[in-house]
Amino acid sequence: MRSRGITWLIIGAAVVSLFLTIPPWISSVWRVKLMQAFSPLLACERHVLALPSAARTAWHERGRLATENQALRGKVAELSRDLRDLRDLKDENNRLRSLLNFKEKSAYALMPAEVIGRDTHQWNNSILIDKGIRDGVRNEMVVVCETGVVGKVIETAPSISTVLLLLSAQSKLGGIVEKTREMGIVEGTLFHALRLIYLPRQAAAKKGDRVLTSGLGGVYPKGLLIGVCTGVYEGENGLYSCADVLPGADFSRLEEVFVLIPRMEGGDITR
Amino acid sequence: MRALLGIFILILAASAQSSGALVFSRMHVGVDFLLVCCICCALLAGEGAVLAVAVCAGLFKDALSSDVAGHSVAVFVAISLMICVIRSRLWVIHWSAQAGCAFAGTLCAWMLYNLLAKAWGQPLEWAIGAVVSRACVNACIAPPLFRIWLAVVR
Repeated sequence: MRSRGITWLIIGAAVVSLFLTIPPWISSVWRVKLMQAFSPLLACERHVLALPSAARTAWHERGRLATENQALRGKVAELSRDLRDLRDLKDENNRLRSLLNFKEKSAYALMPAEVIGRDTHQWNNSILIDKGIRDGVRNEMVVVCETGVVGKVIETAPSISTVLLLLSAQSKLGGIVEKTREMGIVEGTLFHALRLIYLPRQAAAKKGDRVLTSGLGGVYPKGLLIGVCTGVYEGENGLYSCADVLPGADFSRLEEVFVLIPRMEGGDITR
Repeated sequence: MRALLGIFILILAASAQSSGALVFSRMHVGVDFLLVCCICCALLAGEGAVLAVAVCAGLFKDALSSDVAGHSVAVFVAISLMICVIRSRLWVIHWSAQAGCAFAGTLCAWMLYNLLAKAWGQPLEWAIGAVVSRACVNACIAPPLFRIWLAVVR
């Protein structure tokens, strides 16, 4: 009985050492395959989980929704008219731009993606989105939401990708204080806050200042909102200053995000 | 058939852990269905089945996280085999043994993850409050999950 237990412990130790010594390229292959296998189930579960809250909202707001619906119909008609006018203006603008040989202003296209899962070990480490290689998503692409930077893609499968969140302790990116133009490194803390380190010792940044991506490092484009300074203090050994940053994105409520897809010359999206 | 059923439960647990995370995080609780599945299986099944379940659960957890691949397999195998060794001294059918194992197993898992993270030069998780709350939640879900695994193993 005792020797049987020891045998199994030895087998267990062998299995553990086998998995801990797998080369990264092999582990990456099975990881991508498993991620892809899980993607339909995750998408399905996400819709199932959203059902109760949708039903509750519909039940509570059925009266108000009827009146709001009527008002919105009028608004839609009005906006459709405006949209037609704007399309005409856009066409005209494009014609004039091509005449002047102007290039497309934005170097990125926004691809909407749904969050279908979160990291199974540390929830604030990463998220899973329902777009992958088939949709043109590649590693190191930046992910944003309406209120700020979310993170970057670190693993891609055909129809699902893993996004490393800014909150992750593994995440580091160049940040710049918008007003004072002081640069530092923004790092995650795994909690709902970020830290801007390596600011100059006599940093002029103060509470309420916006922190943007500096564009250094080559992954995150310059000028995206990271968050807002909530306090500046002296760093370790007094060699530099640090600032706590409240992220612009609400990581506890992330449901839809956008992947920044770089455009090729001529405005095409890279695939 | 039982093996397929076991894998199906693990797949459900992994996807529930990933897609349900948003709901759990709003409730400010942490939960690890896969670890509790391994612990329940370790209380019931033979060593071979326990090892297979731990490897599968670890692979699923690693696939849906951004951690170093293989860490969860190592942690789950170690904890499952530890429970296999001590289970003859436990009254495994009683809910307190299941809950106690889940609580202690979660704390051990946290220590092992931190040991591996230290060895691999990864950032450590020091939020002991969050770990204890996760251990409590895991202890609460262990008895019902044990019933499910009991039905599978039988």
